[in-house]
This record gives sequence, C-alpha cells and structure tokens, in this order.
Amino acid sequence: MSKTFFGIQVVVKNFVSDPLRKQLHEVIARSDAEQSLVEKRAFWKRATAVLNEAIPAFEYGFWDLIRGSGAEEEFESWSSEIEGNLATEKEELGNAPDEISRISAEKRYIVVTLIFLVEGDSNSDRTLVERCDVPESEYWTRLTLGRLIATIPLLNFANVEADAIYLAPGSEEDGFSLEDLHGGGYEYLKMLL
Amino acid sequence: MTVPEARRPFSRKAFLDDDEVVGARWWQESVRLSATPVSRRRALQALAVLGGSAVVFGIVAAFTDADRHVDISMDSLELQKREGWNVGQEGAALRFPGSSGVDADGNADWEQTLPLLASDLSPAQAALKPYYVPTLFQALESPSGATLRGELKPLLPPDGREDTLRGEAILSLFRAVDMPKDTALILDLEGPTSIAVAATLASGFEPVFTFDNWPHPLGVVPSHLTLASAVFYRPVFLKARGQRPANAPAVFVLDRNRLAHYTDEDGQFDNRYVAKLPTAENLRSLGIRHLLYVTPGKNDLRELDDLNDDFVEFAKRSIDVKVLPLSDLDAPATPSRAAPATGYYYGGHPHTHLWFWSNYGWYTPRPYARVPSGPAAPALPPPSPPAQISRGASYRPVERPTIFSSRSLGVGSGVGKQRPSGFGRVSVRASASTGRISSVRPGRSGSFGRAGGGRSSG
Repeated sequence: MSKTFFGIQVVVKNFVSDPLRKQLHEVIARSDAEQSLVEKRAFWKRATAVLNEAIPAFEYGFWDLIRGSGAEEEFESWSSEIEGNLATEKEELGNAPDEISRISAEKRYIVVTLIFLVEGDSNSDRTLVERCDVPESEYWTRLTLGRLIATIPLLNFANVEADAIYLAPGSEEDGFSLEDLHGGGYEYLKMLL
Repeated sequence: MTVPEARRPFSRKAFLDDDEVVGARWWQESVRLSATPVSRRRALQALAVLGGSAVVFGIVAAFTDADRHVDISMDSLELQKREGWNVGQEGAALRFPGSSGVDADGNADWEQTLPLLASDLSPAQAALKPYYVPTLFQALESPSGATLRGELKPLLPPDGREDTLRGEAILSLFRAVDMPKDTALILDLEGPTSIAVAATLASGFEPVFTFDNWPHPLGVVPSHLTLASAVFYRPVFLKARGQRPANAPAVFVLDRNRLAHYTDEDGQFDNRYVAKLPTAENLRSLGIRHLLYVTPGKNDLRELDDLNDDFVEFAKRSIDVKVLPLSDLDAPATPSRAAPATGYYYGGHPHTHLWFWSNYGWYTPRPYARVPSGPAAPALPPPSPPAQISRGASYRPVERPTIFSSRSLGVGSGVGKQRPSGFGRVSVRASASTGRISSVRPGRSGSFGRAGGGRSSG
C-alpha cells in the first residue's frame, strides 16, 4: 500500500531561561506508551502548542514530504539515525567542548524533529499534500515551518501508521553550537527567513 | 477509511530520555496490518472473486468493463485539481444572478486581479497566516483556472446592504469596548453573506478566510457565489488592510453551506468540506479567550456539526464561546418602511445597542460610545433589556454525536473532524491499467448505468 512520509526538523535558539526545552521534555516524558487516537491527538496538540510559541526562535530547519515509494524507508532512516547516531559522551558536558563533536561552548541551539508515516490517499495524506503545497520561494521560512507544524493536530490519526518526536540534545545542560550545526551531518539544514 | 481495531492502537516502540536525545516513537499496528494494497490490479482480482461488486477500504465500488475499468470513489477536490474545476461538466455555465459586472469600487477591470486573489486576501498578520485556507481562491490559479476566470463575475450579495449594516453594527459594538485583542469572531453564514459582513468588519478585524473547496457547475456547495462575492469586495478588503491596526483581532470567515444537504444524485457534485479552525492551543497562543460565533438567525443557536468537537474543546480550555445571530441586529421599527434603514442595532434600537455587553458580559463599553449612524448613545443602557433578541449570550457548547465526531465512527471521542465515509467524494471510472479517468459521475453511488459516461479525458 502507498504510504507518505512527512518530517520536520527545526533548530531553535534556546537560552537557559527559556521554557521551551523543559516544556517539550515534559510533554515527551509524560507521553503514554499506549495511546488512543484521542490521546495521540492530544499529545500532538500539546507538543505543537509548545513549538508554536517558539516559532520566532526557529533559526534553521528542514522538512520533507515523500509520497509512495521510499516513504517507509525515509521514516526508518530518520528515526534510526536520530535514535542511534546522536552519540554524546558524558564527558562532553560542561563548559569545555569536545574538539570533535562539540567544537564550541556556545550551546544555544536545540534540534526538534517530528516525523510521520501515514496511509497514502488517506485524509491525513491529503491534508499533508495540501498544506505542503507552498511556493518554492517560501519553503524555508519560519512561517512555513510554523504552518506545517500547525498541520499536525489536524491530521486524522486513524490514518497515521507511525510517528515520532525527538529533542536533542537531551541534557538540559547541553546544546548545539552554530559550529556544531554547520558540520557533523547537519549540512542539509536551511537557514529560515 | 481505516478504523482502528484497538482502543489504544498506538504502541510505543522506542523511548529515549538521556543526555543525547529525548524522544519517543509509536507504531499503530492496526493500520499496518490492515494496509492491504488496493492497487487497481488487486482490486479487479478481488472483484472478480466476489463476482461483481465489493468495497475495499471504501474505494473500489464496481467492476465495469471486463478487465479494463474500475469505478472509484474519489475525493472531489483531488479530482478537480487533477482533471479541472468543472470536471465532467465542461462547458456548463456558472450563474451569477444580478451581477453588475463591476467590483465594489465600480471597476470593470477586476479580471486582471483574479490570479492574485489568494495572495490579496491572505491575512496580513503572520500569526494568522497558518489558519488561512486559500483553497477556493486558488481555484483561479489552477491550470484549469483560465476557464473559471472566464466565467466568473463579481457579485454583490442580494442582501448585501443589510449585511453591510449588520457588519457595521457588530463593528460598533466592539469599537465601543476598544476592539479587545482577546476576542475573535467566527462568521458562519452563507458564503456571500460571510464575505459581505467580513468586508464591513475588515477595517477593525483581520479576515481569515477558510473556504476549502472548489466551485463546480453541479456543486452542492454554491461556492462560485462565494468566490464572486470575494471578487466584488476585494477592493474593500485591500483598503481596510491599511486602515486597521497591525494587531487587529481576527474574524474567521466560514461558509455554512459547506455542509449543504446532499442526496447523492446525478445532478449534484459533492464539493462539501469540513471547517478548519485553530485548535484551542492555537487560539490561546494567539491570546484569544473569547469567541463570538455569528450565525444567520435565531434558529441557529448552536454550532454546525463539524464544529462541535472544536467548540467543546474550546470550552474545556476556558475559551468562552457565545452565539450572536445576525437577526439580533435589526433596523429600528419605523412607521414607514419605504425609506431604507441607515443603521442596524442590537435589539433593533440605538438605545438597546450597547445592552449587548450587558448580555454577553465580556467587557463594559466606554461612556458615550457611538452607535451606527446615530448620535452619541447614552452612557448607560436602558433599564430593561431589549425584546426580540435570541438567547445566544447564554449559549454553551455541549458535546453531541455527529457524523463528524469520532464517536460516530467508533474510535472514541475528541479525535476531531474526520470526514464521514463518502463525504466530499464522487464516483469516477478509471482505466485499470493506466489509472486515467475516463468518466465522472456527479453522484458517488458508483453506478454509471445512468450517467452514460459523462466525460472523456482523452
């Protein structure tokens, strides 16, 4: 059966005093292992509401919609890479950056990733197609990313086969620097206007 | 449509909460397990086994021409985007009764602006743009939009004057309380009326249009009239954009014909749709705490079915929703009705106008607030409330089963506005081998026996 992958990744400038990370962490940590459709929608409404507040702080981002062939592989690729490859050793934390993985101590940025695998030609698929139909000149704007994030609670989760949310780094004492984001596999990120 | 089999179908397959990443991943196995491929080839095989007709995920309806075609129920908008706005009825005319051929400014060169309508009517405020649904206006930009642009004419709604006066009445009520930013309006009126009222409000409220379909010559939703009204009032909206404050409160503009009665007949094209409004979280993030839901008349004192889940959720999240029927705004009774009314008022009289705030209770009007087309109103409302007004101020959302609530689909309440099976869909006949659509039947029953092959896409 045809499937559709939808993924959003945003890099948010987050200062220690900002509540975003804490709020998002709580939303994820308190999520239920088993969720009904009602609970699933409520979960995403909470998560996207937190992100919505942070739209002005979105600095970089990326999103993609893949319909049909390759959708499932893309979901697997995003999830496995994030779950498996965000290796940060304990000793990296603190003020002294690791020269390889954290080349600056200016740890202002966090990366939030939302991914979905939905049934092709379903209500959710059509909603995504419609909302992702933006002019190319507007692909990489905060407004577009915000609009796409706002689409998530509109999905009919009966059609969603898989979904995931990630917040990195996980430690509230850590963050990515600009130098981290300009290398180390994040080159695909686009600066948001 | 897939109906989940389990009450809590999402099962978490990964949970991470360490220094590297915080995250969770779920799978809904019921979707995966039920996701049998429904390619046309498979569908034909299944139909052959079943001996004539079957329903596979509500898509395949009938086995028609040996092994060459299948009848498919297809999303109407998707079909129009693929085959053209007037699919199956090419050459059929749209009617715009009473059009004078000019827009609200008296200009006859409005045709030049049609491709820009979607961008012209986009909200100015970035925070409101995510909730703008430009689908109807974008019909003019589509590849088939040239023929639609050729047919379209600007249209002043038949009750446009009354709509304008009632819009002015609403605007004056809010100006009397200094246009509070935590209150938004929802106009749920017939499309042309919604446009006309929104045009009047636009000098104080930021319009956010939510028309999510395309017109069709046989459309059960006459959205071509809504589009024509938008073309007529476009200059008003553009002027108002420069007049209102940059942070003006929002007015969400809906067409209540979106749920028009449909009987699945050959003479109707099902271009209905469900409303899309911001969620409670979205509204709260916009700072909205009060919603005034504007309906046509005193018999419309509750929200339409597709909004019930939303409104109940709003109430749970302490967003107060009240109803204002337009009919509560009326002209003063005069001995002679020959002269047109110059002002409409809540309760039908200038002295009862600001009583609105006594009934709705959100704010207190400032002293000497002006009422439409009248002198300064008295600082205090009259001692008795106006007669002949609705009970819209005491409205409270109450959850009820509707065809749009998830409960009626057997998957629990509160999921949101799921489209019922068959809603907004039409029957098409497609080639089994290429997928090319060979004919369209306006109804969705799946039988082409009476349609005779409405069109050929070549």
